[in-house]
Amino acid sequence: EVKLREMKPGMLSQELKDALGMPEGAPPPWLINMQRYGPPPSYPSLKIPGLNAPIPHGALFGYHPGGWGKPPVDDQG
Amino acid sequence: MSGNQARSRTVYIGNLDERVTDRVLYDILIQAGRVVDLIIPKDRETDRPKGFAFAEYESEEIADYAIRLFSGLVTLYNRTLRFGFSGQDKSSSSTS
Repeated sequence: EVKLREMKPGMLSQELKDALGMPEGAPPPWLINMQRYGPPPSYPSLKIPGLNAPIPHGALFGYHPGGWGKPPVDDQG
Repeated sequence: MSGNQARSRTVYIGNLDERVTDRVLYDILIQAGRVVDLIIPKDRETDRPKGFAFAEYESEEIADYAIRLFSGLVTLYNRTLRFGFSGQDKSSSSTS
C-alpha cells in the first residue's frame, strides 16, 4: 500500500514530467480528453491550464506536437 | 475495449514498467480525482513489481472518468498504460 499524500492536481512534478517525456511548455497528455469530457468531477473549483485557465506564455492551441488542443470557447460557442 | 466489464470504483492499471515509482503513478492518477487507495502488488519472492496496479477512487463515476481520461494516452518508459475497471471493489456486489 502506498502512503497517500496531499498532492495538488493540475500541478505536475518535474519527476512526473520527466517520466511522461513532456517537453517544456507542453500540456499533459490527457488535456485533450479533459477538453472532451470536461474537468475532473472531484475538483469543481480547480483551475486547469487549457481548460478554464490560461495556457503558459508562448504555448499554442492546436493538435501539433506540444499543442494545447482545443481553444476555449465562450458562452456563445 | 470491453464494454462488459462491471463498473466499480477500482481501476486496474496494466502494462506498468517496473521502474514506474509509486509517486509517479499516484501523481498521474490524482489528476482525474482523489485516490482513496493505491495498490501496486509485488512478487513475494523477487520483491519486484508485478506490472500492474489497482487504484480506488471515490465513486464509480470518477473511476469511469479516469479510465476515459487516461486510456491510450499515458506512456511511461515507452509502455502505454492500460486502464479498465477491475471489478474488485470490496463493497460492490459480486457474482458469488
